[in-house]
Amino acid sequence: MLMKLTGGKVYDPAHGIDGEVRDLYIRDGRIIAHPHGEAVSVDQEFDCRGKVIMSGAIDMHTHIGGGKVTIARNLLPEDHRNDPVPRSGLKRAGAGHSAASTLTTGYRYAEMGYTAGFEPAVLPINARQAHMEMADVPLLDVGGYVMLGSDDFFLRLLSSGVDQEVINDYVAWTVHSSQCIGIKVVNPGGISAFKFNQRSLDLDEQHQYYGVTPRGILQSLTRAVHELGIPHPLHVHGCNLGVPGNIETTLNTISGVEGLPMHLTHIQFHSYGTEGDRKFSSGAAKIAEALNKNPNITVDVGQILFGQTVTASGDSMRQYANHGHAHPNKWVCMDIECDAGCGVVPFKYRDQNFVNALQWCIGLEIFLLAEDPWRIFLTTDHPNGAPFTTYPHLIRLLMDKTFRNDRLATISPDAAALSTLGSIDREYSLYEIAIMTRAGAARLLGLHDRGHLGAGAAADITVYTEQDDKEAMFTRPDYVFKDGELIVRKGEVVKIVWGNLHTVRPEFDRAGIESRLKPYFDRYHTMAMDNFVIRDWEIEDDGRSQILVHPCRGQA
Amino acid sequence: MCKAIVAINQVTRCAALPLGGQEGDRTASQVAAWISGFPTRVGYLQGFPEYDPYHYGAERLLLEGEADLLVWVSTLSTNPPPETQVPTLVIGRSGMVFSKEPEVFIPVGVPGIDFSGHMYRCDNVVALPLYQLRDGGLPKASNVLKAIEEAMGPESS
Repeated sequence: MLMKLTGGKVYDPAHGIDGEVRDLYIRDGRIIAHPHGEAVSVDQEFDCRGKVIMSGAIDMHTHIGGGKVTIARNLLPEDHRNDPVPRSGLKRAGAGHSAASTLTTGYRYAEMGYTAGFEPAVLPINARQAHMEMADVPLLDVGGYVMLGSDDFFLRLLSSGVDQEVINDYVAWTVHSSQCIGIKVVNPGGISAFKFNQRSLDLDEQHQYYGVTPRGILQSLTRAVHELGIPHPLHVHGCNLGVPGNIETTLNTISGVEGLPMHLTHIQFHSYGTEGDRKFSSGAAKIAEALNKNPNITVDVGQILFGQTVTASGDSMRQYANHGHAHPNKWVCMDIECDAGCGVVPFKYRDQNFVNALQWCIGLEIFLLAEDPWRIFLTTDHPNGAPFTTYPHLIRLLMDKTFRNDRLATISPDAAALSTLGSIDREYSLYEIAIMTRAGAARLLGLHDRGHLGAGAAADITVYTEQDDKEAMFTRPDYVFKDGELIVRKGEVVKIVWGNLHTVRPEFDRAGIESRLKPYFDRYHTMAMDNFVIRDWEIEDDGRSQILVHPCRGQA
Repeated sequence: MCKAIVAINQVTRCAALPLGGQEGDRTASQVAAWISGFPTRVGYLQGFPEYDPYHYGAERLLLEGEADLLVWVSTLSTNPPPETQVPTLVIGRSGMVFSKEPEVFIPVGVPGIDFSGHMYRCDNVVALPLYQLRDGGLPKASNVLKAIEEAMGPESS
């Protein structure tokens, strides 16, 4: 079957196409070159004249699966009751707002034109749950970053001074075993240190048991990811999240990896100074400067937006430290076996609260001061800064200076007075939005056939009606196609399909590392090594999800 | 106990490991939570999930005559469903013994023996893979449920 999208204004930054009117052709789920020669018989045509066409959007950091999300779901019945989702049309019932049910998550992403989302905190021992939950998110491609850096096995290796080769093998083995596409480190070493009653762990502070430092952990893991050829750089949730003055730690983290590729996630939460009467100030300008100067660094913002949400994180140390802010007043922190930990703290960001209002400014300042849209990504760290359903609002804040300044006039005046936001004129273009939410994200993760509209790309496509009100425009696309199937029409789900699981499989010495891991599992773990490894059949046997393996550098 | 643990954590580290559940109830509760937002004892009467462990507790619904039909899905245990006056449909482990014969009994295989699958440990945190050990020719409960859903037509799905 041949489908044609006729006459749309195409934004395809991967090919430098900035709003050119073009026709797109789709066959067998893929975009194909303009069919020449033989009589072209189009089976289905979509009139896209006057409309904007982009590839499907990719959320490269969103907590949509894994134990902590379901803890958040169980913790917040009142949040679900405020946003009940009745069964309607093809859509099954669920619960919405901050910790939405899996089905509702998939519908709402697709209805906004998103076709992929990546879960950034997959615990190795609990990766199975993350995959089971993500498998119940319809309409969306998924993938995960598996967490290392506070796990006992890695810390033992590092403190014993093994060759980098051994660490590389362990990292590769973990990516394979957990069926993930990247490596995440959360508060490097800090989750483990908290188990030993350390309440903070700065970049050069020693873990009291293993004797290693976060700096050493980051150097070892960035190197492993780089040497294994994993496309996505090490995904780093740094030390001291949310702590005033953490800007210094963040800048030192950037210089500490000595030029190796590194992705700093939810950077907004790591960009705080200590100036002013309240000893809390914006470090956005310094962070943006460091980002602009260091081409090996990428960031996503983790913008906060005002309202009730829930924070769910692997950073048990910092979540414990912040539990006094829980709203409503209940929270969960867990130490998880030899692996890691997690913390779930519900939170309400208030526009009249000085700190929250300044956090809002800091995120926007970083967006607007970062020069290269290929190295900054649009996230709220869903649901930690705000639920993903706020993305259209966030896009309008970036694209519409008047709207942004009107909002700025409504927040805590003390915070607004300390921010440079009102003096920044920049407005993001549609092309730049397409980079941040599509082409850049696909490039960062090594998704060669996503995030662009060239021949051979998977036909994940979103069609919008161009409007001055960008929030309205990005809330309700006219059409969304997933692998060539029309799944959303006029903002409503018209077909249910199931997405793919994106993975990488770097090469490594399996026998070598398993000869170390097998006795370790037998001695210390609560499950056998064989059960730890997630097999393909566990993902694919239900006939819905398909595993896509993207090449690492050096692999064919 | 939670309050004690919270208090102790102000100065040192302390944690509790809650253990419990068998017969797949932890697994059912986890899946219910990610599908609906709530643990088990959810009603869909209004079209959306409503959590109310009192009103939607099966025992009370049966005792007070609020239920018209009992559908009992139990693939791990051979323990029979509670005896009740309403018609009973059992999708249950083959070999289940009843003191009162249900109206319908569809024997099914056991995950981890007849089928592969997943199951949560009693810590309610880690899910483990279950492997198929034999081919007993028995149907899978999920396939039976799907077939019932399909037979009821698209309106029911």
